[in-house]
Amino acid sequence: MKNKQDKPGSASSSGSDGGKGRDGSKGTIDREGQIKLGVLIRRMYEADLQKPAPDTITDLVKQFDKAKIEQPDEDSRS
Amino acid sequence: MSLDDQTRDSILAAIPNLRAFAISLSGNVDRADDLVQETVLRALANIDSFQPGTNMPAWLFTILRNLFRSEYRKRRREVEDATGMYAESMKSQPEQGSRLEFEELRVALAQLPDDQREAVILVGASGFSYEEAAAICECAVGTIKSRVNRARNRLAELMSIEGLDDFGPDQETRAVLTADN
Repeated sequence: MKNKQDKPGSASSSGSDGGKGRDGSKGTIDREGQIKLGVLIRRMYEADLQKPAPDTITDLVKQFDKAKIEQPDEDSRS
Repeated sequence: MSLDDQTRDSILAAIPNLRAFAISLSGNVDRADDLVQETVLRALANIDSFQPGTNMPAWLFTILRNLFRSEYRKRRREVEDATGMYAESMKSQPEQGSRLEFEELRVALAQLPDDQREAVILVGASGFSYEEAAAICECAVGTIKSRVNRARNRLAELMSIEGLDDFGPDQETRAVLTADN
């Protein structure tokens, strides 16, 4: 998913990020705060990544593949 | 409909990320699983509209995001309540110190507008570029940048983050004291 386009958090992309938000927020947090917040968000997300998805979800994809394999047999019988 | 091995594998590979994104959006694991399952069903039903060689994760995230906004947005009030219940359940399982900060972050995320929450997760956690996030959210790149910036600042306000000293043991201690009340 990552590519070489405008990188989030880069110096070039953060230039227009500064200033006061239209929602009335006080303003920007300092660079260290941004980095730490970013790390915390990624760590929370990575913790969620480690939680195994229910088999029912992955089976949906696998069974769909199985149905595709079985399809030619049905066609050949008709 | 057809599903070649490469397409199947790319869908399967995207499921953990879809689920983490769904958890961040909905604040509830069960609801996230429903959302991911519905996303996969929708993707499989429309697999012929996917262009091989293009960005499968972005396509799936777009479906999930649209499903969330169309079907789950109306439950926002319920989701916020559910987030509180989820955070409560986290308190009873203090496996690691960072859980307390995750809990605080989840509560803060739940208070963001949907568009800001999805933007900061797509860019800040899921690994999408601003351009990809803009395509997923069907808006301009500048709009995504603005939403991410506002989300970061709002999160910092909600979590009382001003700098480096707001993280670490003191923050954890404060969270523990809060949880005990």
